Amino acid sequence: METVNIKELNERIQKESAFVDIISMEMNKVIVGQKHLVENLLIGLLADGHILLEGMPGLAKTLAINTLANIVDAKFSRIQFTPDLLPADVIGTMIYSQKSEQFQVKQGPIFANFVLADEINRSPAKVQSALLEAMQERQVTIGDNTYKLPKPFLVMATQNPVEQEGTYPLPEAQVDRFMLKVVVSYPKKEEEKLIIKMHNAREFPKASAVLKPEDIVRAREVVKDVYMDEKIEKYIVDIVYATRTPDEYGLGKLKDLISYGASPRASISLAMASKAYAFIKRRGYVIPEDVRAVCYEVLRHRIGLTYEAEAENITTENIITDIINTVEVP
Amino acid sequence: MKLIGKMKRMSFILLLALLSAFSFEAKGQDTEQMIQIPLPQWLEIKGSTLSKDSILVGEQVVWSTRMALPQQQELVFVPYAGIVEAEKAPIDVIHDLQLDTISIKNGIKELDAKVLLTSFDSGYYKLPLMVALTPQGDTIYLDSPFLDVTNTPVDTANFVKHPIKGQAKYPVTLKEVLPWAILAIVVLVVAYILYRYIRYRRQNRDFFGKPIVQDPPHIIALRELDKLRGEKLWQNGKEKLYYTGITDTLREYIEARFGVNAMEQTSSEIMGELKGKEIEERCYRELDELFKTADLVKFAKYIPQVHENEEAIPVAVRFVNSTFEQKLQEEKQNGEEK
Repeated sequence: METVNIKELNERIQKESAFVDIISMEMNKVIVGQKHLVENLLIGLLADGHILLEGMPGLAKTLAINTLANIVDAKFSRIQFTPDLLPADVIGTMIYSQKSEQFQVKQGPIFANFVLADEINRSPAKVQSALLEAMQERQVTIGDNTYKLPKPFLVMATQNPVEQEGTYPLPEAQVDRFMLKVVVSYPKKEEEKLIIKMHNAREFPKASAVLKPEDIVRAREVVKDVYMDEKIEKYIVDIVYATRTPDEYGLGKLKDLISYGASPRASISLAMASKAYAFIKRRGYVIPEDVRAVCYEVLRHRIGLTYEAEAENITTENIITDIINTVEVP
Repeated sequence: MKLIGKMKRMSFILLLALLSAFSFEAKGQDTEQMIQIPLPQWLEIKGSTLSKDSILVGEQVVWSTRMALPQQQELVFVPYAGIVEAEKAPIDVIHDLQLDTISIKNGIKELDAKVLLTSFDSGYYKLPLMVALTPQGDTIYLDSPFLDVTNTPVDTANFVKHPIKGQAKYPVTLKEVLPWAILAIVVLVVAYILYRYIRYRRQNRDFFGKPIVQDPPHIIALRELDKLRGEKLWQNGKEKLYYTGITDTLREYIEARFGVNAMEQTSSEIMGELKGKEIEERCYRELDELFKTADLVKFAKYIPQVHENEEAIPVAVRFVNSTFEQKLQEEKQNGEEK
């Protein structure tokens, strides 16, 4: 039986997670509000999972990931997905050098620690697949050679929820590869006033580089050690199973609204994201609050809705709310 | 001596019968000529009649021949089916010759020989002759009547086709009805039991209509806590079970007392919901501490101090008692206002 010294683990996490406050502080210098976005960026970063962002333009999505890259002193790149984009534009290609009379590898923008795939649904499936394959394998093959992507490697893809014409919506199997789907909302009135003030100032604040990419890699190892009790594992499994067989959990009304439930990858993501959330909260163990805190982000893109649900304007968020309000908390 | 004489007679008759059966086939061709042979003087044919002169194909007819002969005179009749078969006559014997003694008067006996016949070929036939043998070795041929066998007349001019008749309906027997009747009774009884169960359950009564007395939530909670205390769980190193029991009991109580879905909420959510309720400050603080300790035990392998374990149930009991008394006061106040 595995023995865990929680006291020691807690002390270690207290020590290792000290940088979380620094990151938050630095992020707050540049980003006004959007705490939810920043928190989920950190979860994705620490749980080694990619993030799909859905929100209107101008909600500081790019600024947030750019700032995070600055704080971690990591390489950042942005790829604007367009209908004429090619896989080589993302992953790189072989270029013939007249000088050396040889083909040389030209690495694409994906070779960065933080990649912003802007409007991912504007490109056709082959480009999306190239990116998502790289996200999954964390390596890219150009010509005969395979290149490892740098660590940490975090992809933040955005989708515009209003424009649907001329888009290539991500298939369910591809969406499942994103650990989190974060819905970015508008800032509050007070926050928006502050944003105007910041932009009117002579100098726009800039976040300082306070971390090295290696610190993130080390923190990820600690996150994996966060203790998760069997009761929490059962709670996660119950939530995920409730999306597949709702009637077993007294949620028969959801049966006709769900066309497919969350995959086992959702259970893994929910567990990892909960651990990362506990780490951010500077705890060495996961409590049900952690699971509930990340539940919407992990599950909202993994539940398929039926036509009935769409006709009744029922969203995956409504379904998740019903589930977490019904599944017994340990 | 008498017995020996009787046996001799019987064996003689049997021999005659066998002889006639074998010899008949040879003689079959000449029966027409043999009709001419006069009957012996001692034999008088009183009548040879058919029950019907004309029959339809397949219909049955009885040929009866009455004869008078001296009482002592023996006659053995050859089986008629054998004669018919030998002559290849287009008739069938349904019931072979049956000899009846009609009367015996003044030394004369009157016999009746009957045979049941049918035919499946239409035509006008002379039936094969009946053959009888005497103990003296004489063969007697008895004259036969004509039989007219006709087909069913079909009027092709006025023929009307009729539809095939349906299955004949026989009256339903009790044996057939009984299983269905039993099933119907069982269904009715089950339906009645269900109806009664649901109705009484809604009225909070048991099956026999007696009202079910449900303990108020605080009694249930206190009883559960007392039971947990008696189980001595933490003393045996089962702290996780101990705290799970306490928090589950409290969550069920909170759900019943305050209408908060505590079983589906986390500790902090429950405390957040209780914040708005009128709960004694001390009780609220103690409950918060208890939930936090329980979470540590349940999810972080925390082993509490002995005093924490000892205090856990009293804290829970204090919370239940305090909030229960508060409810009583509220009810009392409401009653006075009304």
